[in-house]
Amino acid sequence: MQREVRKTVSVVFSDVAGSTALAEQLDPESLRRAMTRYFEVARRVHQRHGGVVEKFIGDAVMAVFGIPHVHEDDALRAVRAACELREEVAALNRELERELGVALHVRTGVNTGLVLAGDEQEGHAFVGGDTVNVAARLERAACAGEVLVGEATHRLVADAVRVEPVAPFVPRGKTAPVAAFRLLEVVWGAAGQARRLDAPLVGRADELDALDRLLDRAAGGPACELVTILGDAGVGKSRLLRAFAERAGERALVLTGGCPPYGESVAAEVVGQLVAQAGRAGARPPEPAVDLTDPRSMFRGVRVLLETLARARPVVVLLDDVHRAEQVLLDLVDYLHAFAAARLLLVVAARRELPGRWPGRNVRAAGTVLDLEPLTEAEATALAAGLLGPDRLPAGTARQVAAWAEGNPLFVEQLLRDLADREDPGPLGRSGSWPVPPAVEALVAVELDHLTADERSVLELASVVGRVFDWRSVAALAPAPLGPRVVGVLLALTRRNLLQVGDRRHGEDAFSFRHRLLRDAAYQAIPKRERAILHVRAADHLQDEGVEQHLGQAYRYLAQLAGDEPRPAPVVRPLRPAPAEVTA
Amino acid sequence: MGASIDVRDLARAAAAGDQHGWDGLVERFGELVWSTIRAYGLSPGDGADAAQTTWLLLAEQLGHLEAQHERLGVWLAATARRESLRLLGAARIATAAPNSAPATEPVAGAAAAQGREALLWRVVRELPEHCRRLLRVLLTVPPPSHEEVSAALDLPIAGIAAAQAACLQDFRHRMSNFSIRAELEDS
Repeated sequence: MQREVRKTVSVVFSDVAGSTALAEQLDPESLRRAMTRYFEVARRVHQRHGGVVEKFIGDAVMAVFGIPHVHEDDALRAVRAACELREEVAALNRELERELGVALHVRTGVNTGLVLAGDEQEGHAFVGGDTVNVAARLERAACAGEVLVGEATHRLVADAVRVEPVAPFVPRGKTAPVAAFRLLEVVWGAAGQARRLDAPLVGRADELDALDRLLDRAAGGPACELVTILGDAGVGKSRLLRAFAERAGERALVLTGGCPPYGESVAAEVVGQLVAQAGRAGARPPEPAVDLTDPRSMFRGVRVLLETLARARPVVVLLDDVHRAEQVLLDLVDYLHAFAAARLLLVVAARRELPGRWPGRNVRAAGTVLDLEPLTEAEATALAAGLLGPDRLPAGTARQVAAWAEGNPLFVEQLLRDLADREDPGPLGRSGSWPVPPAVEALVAVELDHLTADERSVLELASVVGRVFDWRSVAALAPAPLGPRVVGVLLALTRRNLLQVGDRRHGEDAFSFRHRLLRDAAYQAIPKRERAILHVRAADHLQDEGVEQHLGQAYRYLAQLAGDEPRPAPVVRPLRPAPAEVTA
Repeated sequence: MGASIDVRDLARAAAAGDQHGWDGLVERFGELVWSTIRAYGLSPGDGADAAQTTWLLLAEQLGHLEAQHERLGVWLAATARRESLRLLGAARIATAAPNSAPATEPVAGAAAAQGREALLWRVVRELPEHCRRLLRVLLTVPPPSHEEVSAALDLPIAGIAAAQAACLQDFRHRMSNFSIRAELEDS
């Protein structure tokens, strides 16, 4: 059976405006040459940002960001690509005008949403659906040279773009209006949603003390100290680095390097940042100049630079998001740790997958490791209360938000932002009924990507059973060939930090999803038809309580699939003007 | 969270003209109203009319419903049922489509998938109408009280639990009879 997955992607749809007129103007051969060059430009631009050109439809190009693998910043990548495409087409036009006396006017629409993606092993064919349609409609609504961005995309990139709203329009064949934004500019280097690193630091006293002690040791010299901070996405690594930088700045020179999400050479970028800051700190540029393309020259250059700086005062180098770096940056860290004879503290922050990306090296054996755990519920509540500001949202919300986020500060931040973004936050309704903020959804999706087929199947089966589950229930649900392998796969998923073994209440045969959102995302990724079948199977296998619930869920999904949509279009709000004036 | 306290507060706020209160009621009972209407097999278009009317009636009468604020779900379910029946009578849909099955069947791709899909639709479609109706309302989110279900479908409260169990059993047997599991193992 072909595996299908529901996933959120960003779609960039571009078309050449007035191509019919162009065809009349140009000899077919010239036209074709011009179009071929345009397609090449489009393909190159999209690939540079990690997009896949899904298809060419006539003169239109459709690129998808999020297949075969999702990235947490797919929406930003898509918008960047759309912007860059516009620039590169302008450059191409200068050539075409010179050679053929014509120019291409490209209209572009960008939209983000759910698609049903086909198996990545079978290429990346995916069923289009509404997300693609809306992208195409945005494209059609754009003027020549314009990029129109859909609402969902805009929310994910709001802090990295300048846009102006255009009047919502109702595309042909649709009933609901589509909100759109005209893209004016992309701010390079900015995150789609800026982190609130200005938020008051909550908790983390032990971690800061540990870092202080390491700096003491490093300041005593002569050898370099290395500490690796490992934690889940959004758990507060960057915030901790920032807090430590402020403290350490009093007695050491602090250099910071952040790994960009993607690019030609992450290591070169980071070293460039460090060298530039060293220059501002008064260090003479290394002699000979650091050649960023030659690792040996780079390693040595950076070491000599840091050693020189460290003669005046201790140096702290903070490297953030190192899980994004290529091997050479990891090698640089190892090299400095081994060979730098300087009062130097290297602080590397990365997601938990880093050890797996550092082959031949035991992260835990080299230097110190700080495992950054989620905040306690009290801490998360304090954080939420601090971020909310007075009177913004009803009292008690901070606690609810903290519980929902299960101690993850980024999730707290995103949920609050989402609630504040709504024109009318309104009552919060049933606890836990908030829609998952898109940026959080993207983060979680990344964690579930890159799984083997077995791992994904087992995780999905487990998600049907629940947040906490007994491995035997999952084995009972698994199709025959997978059954005996279930425990092994569950342990592999535990090593990937998606699951945790054992549970005080449920005993040692229990596993649980590390975060409720991981369970929800795994569940949501199952096509509804499969969900229905799995719930029926679960009801067959589990003889105890929960049978009715499983059957009910199964029926619900089947009924929805059969066209019985679960929810009406938004209901009328007949309250204003005052009830007395409303007539039926 | 104590649901009844919530509802009373929301109703009082809404009656006082507070938009948050109104939105809260819509969020809490929007699906119940819609489920009730759809359970009677109204088309999405007629259903939207019935839902509209139901909410309009609530907006008009909320001030006078003080005594029923706690049981607003029951009032809404009953009103939605009445509006549905009224529209059904007017449109005589009932006679045109006695077994008003869910309409749309998705366009499936490959023949095998189509066959399997078709089996699944049949499971739903061939379930007795009273079961489809009952499950449609029972599976509303958030789950309705038996009192609300009773008001929505004009059923005695006492029989609801047993009917639910019987309908789910029926559904389960149909799923097994259509050998969905065998199909799944094949793939």
